[in-house]
Amino acid sequence: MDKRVMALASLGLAGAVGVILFLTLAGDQPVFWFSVVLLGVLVVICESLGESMTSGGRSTYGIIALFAAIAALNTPSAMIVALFGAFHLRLFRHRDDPWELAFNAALYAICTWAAAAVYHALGGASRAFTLSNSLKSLLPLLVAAAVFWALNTLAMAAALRWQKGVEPVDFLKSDAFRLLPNQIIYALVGLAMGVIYAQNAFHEVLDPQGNMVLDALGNPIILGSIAESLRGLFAVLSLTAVLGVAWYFSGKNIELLEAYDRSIEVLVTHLERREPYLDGHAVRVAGYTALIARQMRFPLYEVNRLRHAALLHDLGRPAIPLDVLLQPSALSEEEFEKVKMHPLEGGSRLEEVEYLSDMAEAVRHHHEYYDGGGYIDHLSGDTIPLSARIIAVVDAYDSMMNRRPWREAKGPQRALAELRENSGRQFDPEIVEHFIAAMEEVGRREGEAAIMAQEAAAYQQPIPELREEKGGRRRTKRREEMLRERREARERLEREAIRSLEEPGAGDTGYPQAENGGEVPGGAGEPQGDSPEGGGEAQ
Amino acid sequence: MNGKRLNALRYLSVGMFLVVLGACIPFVKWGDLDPARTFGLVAIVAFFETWRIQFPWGRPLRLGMAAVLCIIAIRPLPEVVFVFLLGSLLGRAFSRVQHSGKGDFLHIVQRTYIVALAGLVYQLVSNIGWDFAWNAYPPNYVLAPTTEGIYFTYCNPVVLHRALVFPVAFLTMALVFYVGEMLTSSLETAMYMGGNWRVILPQHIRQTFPIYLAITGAGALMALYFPRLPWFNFLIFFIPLLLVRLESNRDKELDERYFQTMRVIGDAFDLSRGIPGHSGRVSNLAAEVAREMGISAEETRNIRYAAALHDIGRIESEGEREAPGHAERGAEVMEQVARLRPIAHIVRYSHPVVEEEGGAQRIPTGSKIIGVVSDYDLLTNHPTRRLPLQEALEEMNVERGKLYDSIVLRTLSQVVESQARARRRPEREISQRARVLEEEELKESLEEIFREEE
Repeated sequence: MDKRVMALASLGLAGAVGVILFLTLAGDQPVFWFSVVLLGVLVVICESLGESMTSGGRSTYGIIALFAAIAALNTPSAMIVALFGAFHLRLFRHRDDPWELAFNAALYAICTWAAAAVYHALGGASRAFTLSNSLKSLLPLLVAAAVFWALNTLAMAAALRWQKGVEPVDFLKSDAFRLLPNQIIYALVGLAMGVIYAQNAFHEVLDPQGNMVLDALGNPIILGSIAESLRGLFAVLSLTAVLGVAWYFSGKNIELLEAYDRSIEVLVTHLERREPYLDGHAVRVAGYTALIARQMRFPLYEVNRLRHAALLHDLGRPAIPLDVLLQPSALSEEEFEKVKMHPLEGGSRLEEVEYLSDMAEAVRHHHEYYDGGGYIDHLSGDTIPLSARIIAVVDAYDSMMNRRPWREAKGPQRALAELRENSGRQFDPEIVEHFIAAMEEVGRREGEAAIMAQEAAAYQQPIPELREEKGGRRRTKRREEMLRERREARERLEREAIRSLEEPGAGDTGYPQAENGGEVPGGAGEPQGDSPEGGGEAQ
Repeated sequence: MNGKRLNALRYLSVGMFLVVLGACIPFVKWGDLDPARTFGLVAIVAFFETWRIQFPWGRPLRLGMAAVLCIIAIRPLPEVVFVFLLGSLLGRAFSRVQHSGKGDFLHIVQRTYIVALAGLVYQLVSNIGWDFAWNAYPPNYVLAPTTEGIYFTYCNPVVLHRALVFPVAFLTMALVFYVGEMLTSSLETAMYMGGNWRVILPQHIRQTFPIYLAITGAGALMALYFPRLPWFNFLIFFIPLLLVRLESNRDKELDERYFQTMRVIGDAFDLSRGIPGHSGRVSNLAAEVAREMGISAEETRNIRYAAALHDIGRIESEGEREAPGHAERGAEVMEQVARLRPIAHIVRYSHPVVEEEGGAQRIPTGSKIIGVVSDYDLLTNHPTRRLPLQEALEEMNVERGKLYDSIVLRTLSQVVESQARARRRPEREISQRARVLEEEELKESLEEIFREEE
C-alpha cells in the first residue's frame, strides 16, 4: 500500500468520526471538557505503557482509560478522549507521519463509538452509578469490550497486511486471540475506574436522574466542575496506585520465576561438564518428565515442581569419583557401593530446599526397580513414590538415547522398545505407556512445530517498513521477495513434515511408532540406567 | 545502645503514650458517636491489622495502615486515636503472633504518636489558609439543595474542600505517617540489630515504598467512599490490597526458594571436591561479615548468592584438574542468566590474589569478603586438616594486607569471636534441656514400637 490508500482510509475514518460527533452533539449531548482533558491524559499515559507483539503491532493499556471514559462520561466525550490516543504516538514514539496519526486517532474514536453504542444499547449505566447498576453494567461491558476488540483487530489486521505484509491469519493466530482475555480484564478495570471517577467527580453536579446540569461551554458553575473533576482524578489515581503496585509485583515475580528456571538449567548443565557425555542430560530429562506429568494430568504447579526436581535429579552425582564414572569395564563391588550413594546425596540436598523438600524422595528413589531390584532402599511397586517412578523411566530413556563410555547410543525406536521390554520389571508399566503415548503425540506435532518455529524465526528479521521508504519502488520489491521466500519455506517444511510422518522412523523427527518394537535385539533384557551398574550385576 | 538506656526509653515512651491518651479523653465528643459506625471502624482496623507483609528485615508492615489513614481523614482526631488503639490491640489478639508481644506493644505505642501527629497535620492542612484562598464562605452561601433538587456548587465550601483540599491534606498526612513509620522502624532496627539508622533508613524506604503507595491508595479510596457506603461495604477496597500482599509475599518466598536452590547446587560442586557444605558455610559467614561491615541489604544479598556459587568454576573433568582462572570461568557461566550478572561480577574476583599496584580499586568488596571467608572455612572445616579458629585466623593474619584485605579480616575475627561467645554461654543450658527432651522422646518412641509389636 502506498501513502494514497493510507490517506484515503484516514480521511474516510476521520469523516465518519466527524459525522458521528456532529450528530450526537446536535442531539443535545454535552461534552464534559474538563473530564475529557483529564481522561485524555490518562489515555496517553496508558498508551505509552505496553509491549510490542510478535506481529509488529503493539498491545497497550489504552482500553482501560477508554472504557473509563465510556462509563464515566457520554459517547461524544468518550470519542474525544479516544482522539487523544493518537497523541501518544507523537509524544513518545516520534511518529511524524500525519496520516498515520489521523488513521490511528480516527480508528480509536470509531471503535470507542461502537463500544459505547453497544454498551448503552444493552443497558449499561453511565455517570450516575449505584452499587446495583454498576453490577448490572458488567454484562454490557463485556459485550462492548468484545466489540471493541473485534473492530480494532480487523483494522489492525488490515493495517499490518498493507504496511508490513503480515498475513491476517497469522496475526489472528499469534496475537489477536491471545489479546482478547487481556482486553476484557482491562475493560473491567476501566469500568471500575469509570465508576469511581463518576461517583467522585459528578456527585454534586448531577440532578437526581443522573443528568449533568451544566451545558457544554456556557457553564455558570464551571469552578465547581473543575474541582469535582480533580477529585475524581484523585480517586482514579488512588485505585491506579493499588492495582499498579500489584501489577508491579506480579511482573517481578514472573521475571524471578523465569530467572529461577534458567539459572537451574545453566548451573546444572555446567555441573554436567564433569562427565562430558552427559551433555544436557538433566535438561532433557526435565523436558520428558514435564511431558509425562502433563500427559498424566498433573496440576500445573506440580508439573513445574516435578520438572525442577528432575533437573536436579543427579545433584548427588559429583559424589561418585571420576575414575569410577569413566571406567569402561564392569564395576567392582566396592565401586558400585560408591555409585549407589549418589541418589542418597542428591535427595538429602533437595531436602534443604523448602519448595522441593517432598520431592527429595523422587531423587532418592529414582534408581529403584519396579520389582524391587534397584537401589537404595529396594522398594518395589507402588511403594516407590510416583515422582521417582517417572524420573526413573525418562532417565533411562535419555541415557539410552546417548552414548555412554560403557556402550553406544541407541536409536529412539530401540530405546522405547527396551522401555517396554523392561516395564513391569524395571519400570512402572503405566508410566511407560503414558510416556510412549506422549512421545507419539509429540512426534505428530513435531512437523507443525518445525513450521511454526521457522516462521517465527522469519518474523524476527526486520522487513522494510512503509514509513522508511524514500525511493519506494525498490523497497516494495524487496518486501515482496521476502514474502515469497517465506511462503516457499513454509511449503517446503510442510512437504518435509508430511513425508516424515508417512515414513515412520525415516525422518529426523524420528519418533518411533508402537509397531517397531519387534526389531529389538536380544540385549533388551538388561536393565537400563545412567550408571554402569548393569555390568556390576552381571558378575 | 546499652540496656539501661533502652529501658529508660521504653518507660519514657509508655509514659508519654499514657499522657497522649489522657489528653485525648476530654476531647472525644461521646454524644456524637454513632455506635454502629464506630464499632465498624474498630472492626475494620482490627481485621486489616491481622494481615501482615513480612520483609526480609525490619518490622512487618500491617495492612491496618490503610484503614488508619482512612479514619484519620474522616473522623475527629481524639476518636481516631481510640479507634486505632482498640482496633490494633484487637487485631494483634487475633493474628498469629510470631515474635514476642513486647516489641509489638512498643510498636503500637510508637504508632499512636504517629497517628496523633499525622492527624494533627491533616487538621492543619485542611483548615488553615484554604478559606482565604477560595473564599469558601461567601455571604450568599447556601448549603441546602435548591428548589430543583440540584446541589448548588458554585463556591460551595463543602465541594471545594472535598475536591481540592482533601487530596492535598490526605497526601501530606500520608507522607507524615510514612516518614514517622520509617524513622521509628529504622531506629528500632538500628537499636536491636546494631548499625547506623541513617544507613538503614534509605534501605527501609526502598523496601517498603511500593507497598506503602498501595496502602495510601486504598486508604484514600476508603476515605472517599466512607460517607456513601454502609461501613462493611468498603471492605471492597481490601481486595486489591490483598492482591498486593499476596504478590509481595510471594516475591519474598520466590527469592528464598531461589537462594536455597542455588546453595544446594553450589554444594553439589563442593561435593565433587570432597568438601561438602563449604559454600553454604561461606555464604552464611560472608553475609554475617558483610552485615557487620555495614554493607547494604541488597549488596549483602548479592554476596550471599555469590558465596554460595563462588566455586562453580572449579570443576574437575577428564584430563584437567583445577585449572587456574576458575573464578573467571564460574562468572562466565553465571553471566548467561541476566539476573545473576551482578553476582557473577562478585564471583569473578572472588579468588584472592596478591594485589598489584593500583589494581586494588577494581575488586568489589563482596569478592574480598568471599575470598577471605572461603579460605578461612577451608582452614577450619576441611575434612582432612582442621585448625582451631584462633589458629586459623593467626595464620591468615600473616597474609594480612597482601593476600587478604585487612578490614575484612578484622571484621571476620570479630564475627567469629562473637559467634564463639554466643555459642559458649547458653550452650550448657541448651544441651541439658536437649538431653532431657531426647530421653523423653526416646522413651515415647520405644513405647510406640513396643505397642506396635504387640
